[in-house]
Amino acid sequence: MSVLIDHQAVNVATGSQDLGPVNLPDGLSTLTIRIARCTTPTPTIWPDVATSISVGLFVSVDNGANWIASGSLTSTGGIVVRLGVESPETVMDVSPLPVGNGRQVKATVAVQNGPLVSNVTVEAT
Amino acid sequence: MNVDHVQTVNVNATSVTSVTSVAITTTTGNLVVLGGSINRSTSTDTLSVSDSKTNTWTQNPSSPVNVGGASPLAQVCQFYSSLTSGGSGHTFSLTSGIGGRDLQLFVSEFVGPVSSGVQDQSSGNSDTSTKTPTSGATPNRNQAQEILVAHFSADEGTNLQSISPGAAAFKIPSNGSISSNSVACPGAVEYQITSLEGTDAGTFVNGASAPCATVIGTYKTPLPPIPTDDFHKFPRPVLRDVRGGFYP
Repeated sequence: MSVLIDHQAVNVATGSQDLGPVNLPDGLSTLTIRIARCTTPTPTIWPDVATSISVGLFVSVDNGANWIASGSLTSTGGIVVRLGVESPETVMDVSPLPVGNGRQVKATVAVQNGPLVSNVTVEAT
Repeated sequence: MNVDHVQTVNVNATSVTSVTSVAITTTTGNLVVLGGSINRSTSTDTLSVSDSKTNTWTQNPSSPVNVGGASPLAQVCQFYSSLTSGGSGHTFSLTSGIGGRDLQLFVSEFVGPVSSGVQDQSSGNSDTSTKTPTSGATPNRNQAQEILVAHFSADEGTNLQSISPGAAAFKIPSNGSISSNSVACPGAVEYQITSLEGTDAGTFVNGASAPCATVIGTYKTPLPPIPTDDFHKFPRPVLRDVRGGFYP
């Protein structure tokens, strides 16, 4: 596994913020994005259920000239209980990725009814 | 006509309202079957699908399948479309009517379906604890040559350890299974291209028992052409006359 973006802070009123681009190691075929969520110990992270986000991952195989949509999600804030415990993050896996050497990856976080305060991690395997 | 599996991609996520797949290049006229799963929601939660090229999607009549009552541990659904619009940059989305849930989407493309009336038979079934989830058998198919596609989803709290097809004729494609709950819903898709008449069940074999929901759909492909020159395909009868000679 390779950590491409490590807990990068996101602070968006209403609008969008780009993360990256960063290099995507050759041969890896799965991207994982982790977005920190509100929990009882972390009440300032994305607390409002009215705050919705749309997060997209994009991969380029031509040094950033073109970006290929490589998975996206929408979600809302607030505390979510998963398997009996407060979920500390929203996680998305997507595979396979566009193939090529010298690839790059970036993420776009679009926010409605902000502000959104969180952090984002992107990994590749 | 060539009938085959083209590609499968998947996306899965926790605590979301919707997910969208990686962009792929598809072909107009091909069959795309979507398998969607949601865990720990309610039986009234409605899963819907869409794509970036606004094709029309129809739900398998045996779907959705829930296991676990009003708050299903697992729910699986299957949708299909004979693409009227394919091409590059094609993405597919799965949306929960409630949100804040765990979603999983398998996208599988097949070449060679009939152009209309593609869906034939279906079946769905749930198991409260099993290593061998099954859809149960469909009614007899209306023709022999078909594409069979089955999906299953397990409770998100389980690690299935491994997933394999339950019958040798079925195949799990690349990117067609998620055996652990590292992200969201464990589950898989399998398919078979058949030319044999009969009934079918989608069956999987897991490495651990879990509550599972399974569904199968069968999809028609064109019938082989009827030979128009049978005369030369069979040996001519040899006729012997009463004198022991042969007629020419």
